[in-house]
Amino acid sequence: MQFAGEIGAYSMGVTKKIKSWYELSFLFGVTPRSVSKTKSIETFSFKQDFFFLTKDLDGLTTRLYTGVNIFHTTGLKHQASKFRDTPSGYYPINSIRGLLALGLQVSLPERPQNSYFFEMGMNDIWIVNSFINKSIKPSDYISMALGFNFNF
Amino acid sequence: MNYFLILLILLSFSLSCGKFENSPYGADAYNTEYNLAAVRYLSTFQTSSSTYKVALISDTHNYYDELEKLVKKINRGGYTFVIHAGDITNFGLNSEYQASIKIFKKLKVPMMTTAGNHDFLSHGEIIYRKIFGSPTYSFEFQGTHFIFANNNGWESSEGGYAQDWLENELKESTASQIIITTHVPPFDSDRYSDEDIHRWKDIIAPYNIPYYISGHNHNHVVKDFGTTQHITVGSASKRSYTELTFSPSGVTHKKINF
Repeated sequence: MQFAGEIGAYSMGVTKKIKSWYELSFLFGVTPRSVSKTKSIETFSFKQDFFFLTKDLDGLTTRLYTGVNIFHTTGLKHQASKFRDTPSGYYPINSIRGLLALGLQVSLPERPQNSYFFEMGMNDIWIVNSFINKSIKPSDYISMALGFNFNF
Repeated sequence: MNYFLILLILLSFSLSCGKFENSPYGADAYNTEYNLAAVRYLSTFQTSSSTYKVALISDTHNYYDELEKLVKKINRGGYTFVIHAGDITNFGLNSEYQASIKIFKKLKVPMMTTAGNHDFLSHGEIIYRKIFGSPTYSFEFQGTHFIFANNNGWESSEGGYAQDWLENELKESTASQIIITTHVPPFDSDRYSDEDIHRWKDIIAPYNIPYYISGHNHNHVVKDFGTTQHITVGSASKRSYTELTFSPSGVTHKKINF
């Protein structure tokens, strides 16, 4: 389960550990109307996490990772293909976004099979914007997420 | 110990900079209605001079560095107000609106906008209306009627009625001269048929309209359009804007580089 991180206020899905350093997740996220201040926003996301540093701190397992998250948002009022009378290809696809993240995953000694994570990321639009603009600051584009994995 | 330090830096950096963003497409913006606030400000503006200058800008999109420079230049230029002809964002996202607004807030004079086609992508129309208010409105300042019309007919249902709205607005105008601003030029052949373009010309023909202002095409171009002169205000990325000078002898324009 994940809270925020641009893929929905509340996301839920499955994670598969492929290798000790590589995890894959598929999540479905919802941002309810009361939060989005427009209609309810639904998101399907495909998340890959690459673990590059693991440390044991008195039984507390901490792992740093980078994540690549591709997500598709449904039901946008205006998607490129659904514009009234807009020629096909006039706008680039707007409903699919990418997100790069850096995160920390923690497992408690009592239940090492479960983990909790915190991550910060930036989406493709702001990756480009931060490259072409010197004046923008991390506060313009850094987004954070919290979540947990329960291993069944 | 070093590892703890890394975690601490990571945590404090993100907590100080980041926010829990639920979706890039959310519309959680404050209702500020900047257009209305700017018009209210101008209605109380007192000046003894009959000459004043207006800065015309457009298509600032995600050119934040250029926008910073543009705002600094305008603040030094002695303008009474600024007209933005639309396309404040690229994808109509709240984060893009907020980044632009952060820079617009540095302007020392009021700014009026109309919406661009990009501003209405995703849920951009909802966000635009919260932040700026209606993109279709008008006001009178020192004998000139300034009309702003949303003519983004592909992206907004309101935009499809721009010609009808403008026709009625012009009929009701009692000002000696009129300045019209729409984001899309009325001669845009992608969006308007020959018949539509002729209708635009017919609508404005009976009135004293020294300038019709648009953006959209990013290059600064001035040309005759029916009975008026049309200015396509260049994008901020081209590092230029347009200055209109209103005086008792008439209205003139000048391209300014920055």
